[in-house]
Amino acid sequence: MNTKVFSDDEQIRRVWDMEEVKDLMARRAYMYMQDMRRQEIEMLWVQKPENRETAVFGSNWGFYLGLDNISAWYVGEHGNLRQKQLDEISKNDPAVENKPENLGFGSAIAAPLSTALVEIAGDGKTAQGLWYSIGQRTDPNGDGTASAYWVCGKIGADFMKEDGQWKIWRVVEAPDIIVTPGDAVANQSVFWEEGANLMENLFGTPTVSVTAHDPTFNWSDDFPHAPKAYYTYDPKNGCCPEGVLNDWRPY
Amino acid sequence: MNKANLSAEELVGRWEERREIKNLMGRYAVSFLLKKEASMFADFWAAREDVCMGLNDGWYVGREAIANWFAAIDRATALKAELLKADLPDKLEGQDLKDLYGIGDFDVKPLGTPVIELADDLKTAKGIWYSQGSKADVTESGPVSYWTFGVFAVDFVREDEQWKIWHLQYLENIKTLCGQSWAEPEKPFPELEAFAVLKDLKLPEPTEKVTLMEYYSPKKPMARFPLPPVPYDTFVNTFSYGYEKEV
Repeated sequence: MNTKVFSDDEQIRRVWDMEEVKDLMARRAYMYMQDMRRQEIEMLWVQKPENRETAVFGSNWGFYLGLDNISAWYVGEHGNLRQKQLDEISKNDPAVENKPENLGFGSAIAAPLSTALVEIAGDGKTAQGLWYSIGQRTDPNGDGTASAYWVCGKIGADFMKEDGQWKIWRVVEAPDIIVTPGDAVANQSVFWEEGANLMENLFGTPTVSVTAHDPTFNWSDDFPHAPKAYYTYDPKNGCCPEGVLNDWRPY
Repeated sequence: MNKANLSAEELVGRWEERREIKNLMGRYAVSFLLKKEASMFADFWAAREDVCMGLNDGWYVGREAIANWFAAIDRATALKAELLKADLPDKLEGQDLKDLYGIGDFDVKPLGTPVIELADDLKTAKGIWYSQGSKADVTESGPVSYWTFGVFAVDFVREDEQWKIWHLQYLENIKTLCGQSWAEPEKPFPELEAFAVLKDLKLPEPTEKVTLMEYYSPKKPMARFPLPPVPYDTFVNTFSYGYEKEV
């Protein structure tokens, strides 16, 4: 990659590719904030059948493989959760109508992006990026109260060009810190009791269950990877099961 | 616009425009931190009459309304310095109030998650940023600190070869005292006599009072932020982040 020489024209197009990749992920963040998950999948993710098949959504606990599986969890199960939350709220407070416009009632969610690190493949067909997100997730408990959490972690993504447009191909959200506002990060559980980790619960039952990123003891592994300059995509450095690093754990 | 059809020179030019817009908003955010409200309107906003600013409680429409809002913050900053000087005589006695201007206030609005679109005709541009900020303020309870989460959604216009702010919305859905949870009712600090005068300190009312954003509550619908800009050729063919009178 370092030996490849690009023309001026190629170089400026690669600069624009970087801008477009960053814009794409930022668009995803705004859709995520407003529960526009179906639109996100349809508008921002790969759509060609061969790319849909190899799409990935990962987190600390494993991976959903293929866009259909991703959608079933990311859109379908999330929609079911929002409906269940609204059912409970409406039952306890009939003034809150149980109608689609009220899905998301009592909730707030954000995964803003900073610290962008983007590499465009030398062959120009793929790109890889890593961001840090200091976000939050707030869900209603159904009785007029809610539970809020800071959710901080790396968000990695692999991108692919379809018909000249960058699309999201693979994403890994890897939370490091999940802590209630007002509590010290130092008070976060080192070992979560079974069923106590909000983000693990929300991740459901992935296609592949594997420890992909493990923030225990705040030991930070390089997954999702901080991308390095590359010529052609190698899944060993990707946001996918093949990219998981297994040789670093101290225990 | 298909970028594949643009020359390298055109692409460089458009990249430069994006950089200028990012820097403009970076300077705008830093100006809050540096307490530059006295000059921010003149420094960053367009000279045209149809500028507007939307905050949670409504729209400030026109130059006078926005200028008055900034001027009120300027006056409040000066008053807070005066009160802190009186409250901390052992530290601040003998100091010039001009030098103390801005103490006690720390308004951090860092910008992230940008989406920027330049019009094909390069006469206007649009951008959205998420700001996860904090505000140390001086209130009737003395100095207090908040987390503030919100969105800047901005239309820009070119004036005299420079990008300027034309329409701006800054909408916060979370403002919570540091050390507390936004999911729980706020536990305010007790009022302090030395700062009681600040209780009556109010910023000017919006020209058009309408709720653009409510703060998060478990008993309210999910916040609806402005959406990111989409590619467009000229401003009349896209949506506006500005005030549009309902008819």
